[in-house]
Amino acid sequence: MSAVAIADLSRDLARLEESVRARASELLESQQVRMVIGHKRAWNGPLAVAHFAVSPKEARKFAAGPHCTGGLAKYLLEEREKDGVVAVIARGCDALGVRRLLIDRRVDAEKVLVLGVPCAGCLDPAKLAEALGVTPAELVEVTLAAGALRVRLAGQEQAAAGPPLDKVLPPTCMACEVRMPVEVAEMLGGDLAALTALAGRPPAIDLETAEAEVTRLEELSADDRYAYWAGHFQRCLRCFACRNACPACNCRVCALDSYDPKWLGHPTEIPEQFMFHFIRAVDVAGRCVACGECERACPVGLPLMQLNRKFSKDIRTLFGVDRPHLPGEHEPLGKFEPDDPEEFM
Amino acid sequence: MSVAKTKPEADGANAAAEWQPKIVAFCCNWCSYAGADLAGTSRLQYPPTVRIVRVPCSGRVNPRFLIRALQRGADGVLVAGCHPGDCHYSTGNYFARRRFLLARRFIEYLGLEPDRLWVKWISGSEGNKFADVVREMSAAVAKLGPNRKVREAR
Repeated sequence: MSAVAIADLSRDLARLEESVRARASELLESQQVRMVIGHKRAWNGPLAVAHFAVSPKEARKFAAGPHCTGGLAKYLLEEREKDGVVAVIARGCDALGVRRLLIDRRVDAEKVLVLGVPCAGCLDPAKLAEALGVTPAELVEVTLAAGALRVRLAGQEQAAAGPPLDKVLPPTCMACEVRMPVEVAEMLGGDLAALTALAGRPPAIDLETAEAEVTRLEELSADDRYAYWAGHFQRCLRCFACRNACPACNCRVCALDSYDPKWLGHPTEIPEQFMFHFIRAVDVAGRCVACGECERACPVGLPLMQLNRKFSKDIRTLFGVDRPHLPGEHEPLGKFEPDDPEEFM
Repeated sequence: MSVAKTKPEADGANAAAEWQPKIVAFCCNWCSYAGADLAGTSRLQYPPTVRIVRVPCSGRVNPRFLIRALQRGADGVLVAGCHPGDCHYSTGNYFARRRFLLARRFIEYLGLEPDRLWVKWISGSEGNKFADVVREMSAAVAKLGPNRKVREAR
């Protein structure tokens, strides 16, 4: 990416932010929608938080840019019982998340308005902190300026130049195929040449590279794989952040909350942790939209996408469904072919 | 049946020699359960390692049943249903087939032994096949030894 393109990119993002605010105000002013869900700058850190605007004045707080990380689709579940339309400022992953909720009939299509925004990727604060040699807690403000990110650290008055954005993206953003969102009601931002050109590019890493870690694990011995997963699972806090963030984890009654049958026992036991992660991964198999929200939400950094990617890889080899999360494909576990493979049956 | 009593290590010094695998079989009501019944009424000999759970259809079996069985003391899990095309509910076993193709690869990925999960199509007239499957599976699971990886410590 040339420096000129990035200079244009930061200007595009400023224009996008303005266009999001204007469109949200307009929709709320005319009462076409009851609420607009997007991101706003947080008071206490570099990353944006979800913002729920119900008045044009609140719509002035909307933000756009690489610091707007968390997924927004799942908040629609909180609003599903109420009357009126809710608009979502949707990047590609958010739009796929909304689509997942619509297919699962968890939200009503008439009550959702998806406003698409092109996305250049959302930074990974851990990677950024590592690149700068600081802890994530020391990051105060991150903006995209000409050339690269500009980062202000704790105790500093002025922001200093940081690494380029594409060096601090999480793996899911690097493998993202929907930086131009699909299945949206309208696209915001108008003519944003640099952002659109960047978002229209093929992903930085292809599917094979994204699945390289899965392939590496598959080649280990069974005991090594067990040790790898047991080591990760014993760090799990059982906070259910992965479930809460995931747009595919949307059952009316969650097995993880169930007391009868009681699927989960005490979290200090390894077999119970295997049960938890088995249930989570199996229940989103074939329905995962590859947004990476589970990993992003995990406070101890479990490689949860490696579980999800194992399923998408097997689904591809067994059933020939290439990208089950993209429009035009059926749920691979919600249908069958009479001549499916029967390797051990 | 007390879980503690069936633990191999709780049975004394010669436990290893006496240890036999414990297999939970989820048999569909319409085919495989009848097949198991036929094996019994035909007086066929097969190892007493299998505990049968009757389910309405192989499509009823959630993959998490497998982990729960292994947690609570099983060494292997057999899912048995009607042959493809013969499902009482027309399509239940086709969905189960896709599900367990993935589940078996997934437990292997988690580091468990894939051979602890067997899926077989056994019709109501295949008492012989039921006995054969239990025999083969008991031998295969006996070779793997007791399941320790996801077994509860209680």
